[in-house]
Amino acid sequence: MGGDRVIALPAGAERNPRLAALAAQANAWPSTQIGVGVVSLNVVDAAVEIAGHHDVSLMLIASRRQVEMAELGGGYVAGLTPQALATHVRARDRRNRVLVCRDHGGPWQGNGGTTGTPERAMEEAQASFLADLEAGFDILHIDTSACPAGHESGDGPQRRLLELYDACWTAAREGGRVIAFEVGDEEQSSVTDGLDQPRRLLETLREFRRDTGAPPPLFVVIQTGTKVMERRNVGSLSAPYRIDGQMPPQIHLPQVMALVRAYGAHLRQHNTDYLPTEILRWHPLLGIHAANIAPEYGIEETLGLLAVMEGRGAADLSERFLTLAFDTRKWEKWQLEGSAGTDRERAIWAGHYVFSTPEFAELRAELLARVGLTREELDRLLVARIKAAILRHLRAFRVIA
Amino acid sequence: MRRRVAIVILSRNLPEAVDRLVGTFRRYDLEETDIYVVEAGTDRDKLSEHHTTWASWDEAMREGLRPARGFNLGVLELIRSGRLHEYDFLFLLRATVHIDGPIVTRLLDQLEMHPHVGIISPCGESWPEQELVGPDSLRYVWHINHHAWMLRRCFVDLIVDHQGTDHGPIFDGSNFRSYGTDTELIVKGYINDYATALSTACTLREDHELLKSRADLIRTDPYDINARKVFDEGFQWMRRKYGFTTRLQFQEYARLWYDRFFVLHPSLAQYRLLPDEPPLR
Repeated sequence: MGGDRVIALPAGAERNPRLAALAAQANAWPSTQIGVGVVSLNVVDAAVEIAGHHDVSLMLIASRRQVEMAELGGGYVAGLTPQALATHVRARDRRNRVLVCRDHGGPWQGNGGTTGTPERAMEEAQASFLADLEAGFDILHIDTSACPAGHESGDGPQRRLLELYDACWTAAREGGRVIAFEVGDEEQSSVTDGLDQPRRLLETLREFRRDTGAPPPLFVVIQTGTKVMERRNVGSLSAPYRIDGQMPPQIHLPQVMALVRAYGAHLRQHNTDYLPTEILRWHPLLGIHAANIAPEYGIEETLGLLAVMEGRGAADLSERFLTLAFDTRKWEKWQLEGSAGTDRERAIWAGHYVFSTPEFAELRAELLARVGLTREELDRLLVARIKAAILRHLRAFRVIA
Repeated sequence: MRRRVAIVILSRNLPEAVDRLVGTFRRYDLEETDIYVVEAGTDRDKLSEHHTTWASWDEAMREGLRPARGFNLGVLELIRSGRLHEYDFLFLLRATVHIDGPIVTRLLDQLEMHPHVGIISPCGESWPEQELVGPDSLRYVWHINHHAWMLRRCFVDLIVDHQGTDHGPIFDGSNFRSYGTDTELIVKGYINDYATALSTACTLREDHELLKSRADLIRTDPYDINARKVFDEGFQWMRRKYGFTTRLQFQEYARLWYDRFFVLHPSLAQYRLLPDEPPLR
């Protein structure tokens, strides 16, 4: 703890003004930088407005399922392509403080899931990254943890990571793009796994960089004991008692920080959703450089929408919306084993996945007509609610005083 | 032959578990130990034949005593009977703990080699700290839960509170369900120049199933409800007593004293749990 909270950019990265501003913000006083998941267009707008209003840097992080090149099927968020997302943000980010980032880019991370051959998956991953570069993304997270059965053993994930790192770095250099990298090949888990895997990754990367001259990753993802299920963080970081078989976070985290420090990288914590403010407040002091939050904001928007429907005499529409969300069965990935969640709760976990569907557009049009709001007025209500959720994190992380 | 260790077992309605523990101690550690069993609100028909103290007043029968007040009562009985100073060590453990083998003698061997250790705990079989400590070894720690702690009596002498029962003599009994009182005792140790050690010379296993499935027997609330009450009361106690708003603050407070201990004893730095970790600044 203490003196190692600063973010040192890889040589040359300071030529990207957004990366430079993020580092300056991180180094002004102890704070944890925030990654906001691109779970809806309103979340994007909320984040951009906060960056402008409060003059702060933040990172918008888009997974391949959320934002993808059209040739690979596009993403579920308003059909955004990398270029469309970047254009949307750049047009509104008047202070140039919002970094557009790829989150979990890599093979088998797109719409097709873990289908397709390794060759095909790598081709698509690389094409997706090149589209990100072309669009002007600032940080690329290369995540090669996803593998179909039969391909997960051995050094495959690390080999693929190096291949993509090399391809992206080469393309960025040749295209005059100043970017930074985030790496991590571990899957989300509530457990504070041992450090052998990230150590191997960082060591392999160091050898690779020695041979190629590529820059070090700005961020590395290592499990810290966070995991999102339903509307809870079930990891050990916020558990008041020891979770059997796991290293207590107060012992695990200093080890993580020492490892990250030894390789000149910075820790990025994923799955930070739903942590109580008292735990969030501790992040800057623990030295966690950056933390990602995604579904929590999508659910805030869903709850805001339900409040409008049910508070303004359109409860029947909320039933239709919940049915639409429930039928996607997207809630299944968030459900705990033996869950006591009701169907309404399950639908809420999946609400933001339907915001861009034609069925929802129809339902929203009916809602607007019934409650006497314009689309812009409805979005303002929802954005205000999302902004409050983002501000809770920014204040707890000490980005905003 | 003088017995150096007073074992205090805390139980509520678990006579079989007490019998099992007493049997283990008698098999492996008989020569070193006297055994005291505190029955904390146990029903008359579930008293262990080994019990030495029975908290049978109305509140105790209704609510039990929980760890802080339960162990306090055991130690208080030793003080009242004038026997506390016959022992060099107190081994305070819950009846829900499983142990095998000569645990007391192994801990005593380590305590003799580490005179600055005031509290020592066997490592849990499933605790990943085992890897950090290494086999048949020990490390000094700032955080560990109290399942079975051996306390050096001269450390107890320093901190013992002779006033009342709720707030003494060792744990702060005002925190009824006791969440955080173990951290507080660790802090008191480091403040008084006594370390807390985690040992892999012997291990323990906590009977989670007993806690989860036999709540009716122990007469607590169901596991999840009891856990929530434990945390809520503990957080309120930390806030009221210290002004801490998170358990992490309390643990960092413990770490500050832990780090200070190694400033005073640099030769013991090799026993830090994470030797390469920089001290708090």
